[in-house]
Amino acid sequence: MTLKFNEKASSVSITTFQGFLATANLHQGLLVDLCAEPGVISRAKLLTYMERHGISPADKDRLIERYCRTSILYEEADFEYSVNPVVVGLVNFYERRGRLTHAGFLRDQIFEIGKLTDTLQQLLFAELPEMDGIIDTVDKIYLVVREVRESGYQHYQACMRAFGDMKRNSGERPIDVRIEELKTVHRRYIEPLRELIDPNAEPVRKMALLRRRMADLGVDAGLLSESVELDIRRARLAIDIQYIDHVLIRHFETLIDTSRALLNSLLEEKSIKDALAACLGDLGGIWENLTADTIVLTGFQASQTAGMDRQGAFFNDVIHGKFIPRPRPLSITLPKEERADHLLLFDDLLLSRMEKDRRIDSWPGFVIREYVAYPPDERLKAIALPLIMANPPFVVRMSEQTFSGDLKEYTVELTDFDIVWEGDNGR
Amino acid sequence: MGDDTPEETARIIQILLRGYQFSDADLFKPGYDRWYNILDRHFDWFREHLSLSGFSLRRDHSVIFLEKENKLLSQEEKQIVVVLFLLTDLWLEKGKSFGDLFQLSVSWTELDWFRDGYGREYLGQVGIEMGDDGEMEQLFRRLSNKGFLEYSTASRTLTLRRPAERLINMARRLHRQIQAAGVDARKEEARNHE
Repeated sequence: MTLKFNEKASSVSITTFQGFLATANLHQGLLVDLCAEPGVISRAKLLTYMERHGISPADKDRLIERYCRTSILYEEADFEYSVNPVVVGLVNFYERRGRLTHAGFLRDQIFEIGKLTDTLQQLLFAELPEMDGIIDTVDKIYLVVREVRESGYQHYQACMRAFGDMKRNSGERPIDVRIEELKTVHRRYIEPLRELIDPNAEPVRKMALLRRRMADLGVDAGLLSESVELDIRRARLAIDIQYIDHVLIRHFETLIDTSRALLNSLLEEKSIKDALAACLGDLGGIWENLTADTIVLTGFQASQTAGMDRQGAFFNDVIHGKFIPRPRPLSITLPKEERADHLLLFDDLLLSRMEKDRRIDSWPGFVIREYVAYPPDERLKAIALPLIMANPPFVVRMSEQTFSGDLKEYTVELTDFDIVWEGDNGR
Repeated sequence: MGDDTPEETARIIQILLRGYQFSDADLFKPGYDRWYNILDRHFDWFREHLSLSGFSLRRDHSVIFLEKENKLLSQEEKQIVVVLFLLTDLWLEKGKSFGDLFQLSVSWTELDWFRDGYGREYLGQVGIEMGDDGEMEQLFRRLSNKGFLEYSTASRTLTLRRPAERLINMARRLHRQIQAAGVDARKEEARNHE
């Protein structure tokens, strides 16, 4: 790359750093897009990108030429370009984009590290350690380790970004397509990482071996004191190894987990979507199968319920067994048309009766006897009315006896009580 | 819990009797968080005491509700099932995530409810006619009283809550049952042919 750079620079014209910055500043969005492009960019693709960033056709050629002159683009062949890797590195770093790397590449690099580690071992344990050879080998290892660190991190960023894009830009695309996309990404970029973090697999063992050799080198004080250079390189290499061990491996684990979680949630969504569509398509079938479930309880209207304190007292009675309705299974009778005044027992009606009679002994029995034409529900409500009514114009006198009565659908059993009308005095 | 807290006990029972379904979504609802915690912690106590007066209290994971005595589906219940199923289906169809239904303010009026040959037919089967936004809005507001969703009248948006999730998740079970019934029917048919 460097060679080509020199050739180009000498054959065209040498730009200043100022010129480079000015050019890079021209169309930042375009540059970011180009840097995300892996490998060689064809001229057609380049023109499309320019189109997208609103560069007029007349300016396109001039801009390409200017990019080449400032070494932002390299002309690899006729109509084929690549972006200067230094620029790519910078842009991707600041854009936090990362670049996808094939996991196979990382593995190969780690095997390369393993090979170099073996060489280092031989050199370290030779009878006469050869300083130059050791320094060179440590240097080579440093380069490869750095490459693993950088491309590994870039890979992590690129994958995370891809996941983010998938979550954000999923709109309008059917779920099956999204599942397929994610599966592809998973197979290509995520799954192979598993080998790199598997403690029993070769790459992890190679890295462990390297750590041991570095430790060997560290304790060899004589060797280190002989060369300041070696010491600096060793320290530099140790930082990168540490980074791979502690950060990168965890990043890879996160990637694998994230990918799996994302896939699971998509599959989950697909299953619920399929189920919903199928159910909606067969409503009759649903009604048949929903017979054992409670969807909603219709509940009582707020207007039908008594005041808080009264209701609380009533339920306390229920809870402490003073009032025990014995429910029987409901028998359903189809509604007949009936006059409304025989269906509902209104409070007014009951109160006026109390007022007329002044005193009614054994109210529950009275209700059951007197209002025999009304439905059992209404009579039950009428029996309970004196117990839950707020500010009643009458007094409830509890008796010693227990009342039990039959209401066709329920058997009622409660402490018997009388009603004594007090009229306006009672209020 | 003893006799010193009858108001809260009665309040919880009253809310249950109104058909409200408690769930862990109540943990974020002032007042209800306390009641949900009481109900959750003393579930057996409540169940036993309510059963004395003939009500059966049930729990399905975090959702706690009174069982309906008469299991015959009412028209309203059918509407609820269809509207919630369709809401989820239309939402997912737009490529949105299932979880967002429970976190975002969903603008339900923007969904294509009455599409020919789809939603329109399903809603028609439960008596919601073409373009009857008002009826659906009424339904959503009733559901918000039952703890199924949060409804904002001002913006006409809703956010689902746990009891709605319970209902939507029933779709998976129903789907399996319908499929199984279909397989049985086909076997039966094959047998008849033989």
